[in-house]
Amino acid sequence: MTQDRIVEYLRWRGRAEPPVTLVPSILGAIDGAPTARSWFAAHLRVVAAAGAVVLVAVAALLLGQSPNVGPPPPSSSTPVEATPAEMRDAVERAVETLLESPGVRGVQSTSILGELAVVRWIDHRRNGDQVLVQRTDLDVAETGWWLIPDSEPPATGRNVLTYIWVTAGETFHWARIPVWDEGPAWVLTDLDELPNRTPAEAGAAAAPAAAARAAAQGVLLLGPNPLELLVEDGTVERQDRADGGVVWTMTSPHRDGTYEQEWRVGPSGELEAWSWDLVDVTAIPEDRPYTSGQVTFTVMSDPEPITPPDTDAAPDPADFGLPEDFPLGAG
Amino acid sequence: MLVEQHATVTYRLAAAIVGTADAADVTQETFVAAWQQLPKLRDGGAFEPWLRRICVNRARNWLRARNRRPQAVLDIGDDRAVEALPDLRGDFRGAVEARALVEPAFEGLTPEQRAVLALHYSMGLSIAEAADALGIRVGTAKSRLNAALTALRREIENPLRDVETEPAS
Repeated sequence: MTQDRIVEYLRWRGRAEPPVTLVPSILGAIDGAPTARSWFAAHLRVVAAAGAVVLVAVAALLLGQSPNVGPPPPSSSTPVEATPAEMRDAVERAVETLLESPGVRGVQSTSILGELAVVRWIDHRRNGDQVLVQRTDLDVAETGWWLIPDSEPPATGRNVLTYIWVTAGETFHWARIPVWDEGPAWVLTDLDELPNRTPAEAGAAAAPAAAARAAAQGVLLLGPNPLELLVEDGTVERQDRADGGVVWTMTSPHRDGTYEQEWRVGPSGELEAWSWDLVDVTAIPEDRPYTSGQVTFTVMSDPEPITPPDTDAAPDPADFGLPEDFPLGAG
Repeated sequence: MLVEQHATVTYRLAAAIVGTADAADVTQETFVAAWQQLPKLRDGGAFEPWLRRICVNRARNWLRARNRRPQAVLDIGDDRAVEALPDLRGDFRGAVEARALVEPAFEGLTPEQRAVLALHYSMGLSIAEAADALGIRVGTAKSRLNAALTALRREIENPLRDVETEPAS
């Protein structure tokens, strides 16, 4: 046997997928264990939480847009100060308007210290059917490299895990790429087996499962998590655009960092895009935003219906309309 | 959040050392221990290697606690394994066959050998990082890694030898 074969096997041992119940079981065990908190324990949670926003805040947000959101429409007015309550009301209305559309496509991306970690593509229908494709660069998103000063991801674009979730009528299928070594590639899942939590609650490690449930339920995943970032102590500005749309920005403290958000509302009142950066995180001495994400939406007036996948065929996001140049596709 | 952030990579390390059947238990033990020992950690940047060390120790202890001899290196009653025997000295057809042969051999290694292989090859850590996780010098880690590879190869190339002659790990 060659050395390469042995090394290949050893690497394979390091790619095990944890069960979806792992995080809840750990949290349950911790809850039952004697705790010994310190100043650092609390501090570390802040740091880790900030990093996890990558997969959490955005896992909730889900729809994302590709790394290229495009230039914002021209503004016709200078920014004026507004209140967080005004901004929240406007954003909530924009989300509701978006969900009333016959179809919506969205693309989302999340980065950690400028490195693309997760991208998602969603094709949603007003009746709740939808296709969700999620690609995660495991080396960027799950290795914790950002907690080590001056470090880089162990690799980029080489170790990508893709999930496809398809909700069509009463059926919910999902698949992952690389496909399982054994068993069918497509799985018809009993919704009762999925964790009954929002992606925001599930966190990074359990995000796929939680996102799966959200996908199964046909929600846009623009759940409460992004809106929770619209805090009462944020500084808000409103800028009216020449086309009738509005750009809202909020700067708010977030534990040991600062959130900078921008919400764009189109002239018809629908949410066009949302982006955020977590910057100035004191525990991470980096000039780059600690974490950042963006999502953009495209309204479809007459979309094709979504149908269940051909379970005899190998899972391929392109079969559902995912653009060939969608990021993280090389893995 | 801390758990969610590190659960997957910790699970993978545990799985690389003890196998997937016990990895979730080892991962859970690791986080409980980490949570209880957090006050000892003062450097935020050092959290991940610190957690890694806990995981390695827990995994090694877990293996020792099994208190059993290594499983048969190769079950000659397994038709699939017998079929693959000629490939040991010839061309290897693919990773699946390799897995079927290497896995029993890996099971025959000591906890220390499994840990160093898992850290360096499975998790992609440098020798220095692996040494840190194991609490040994870099030079020692290098020699242990070589010894582990040699032992693994020996297990693979001598699949039918009497495992009862091997000391329990």
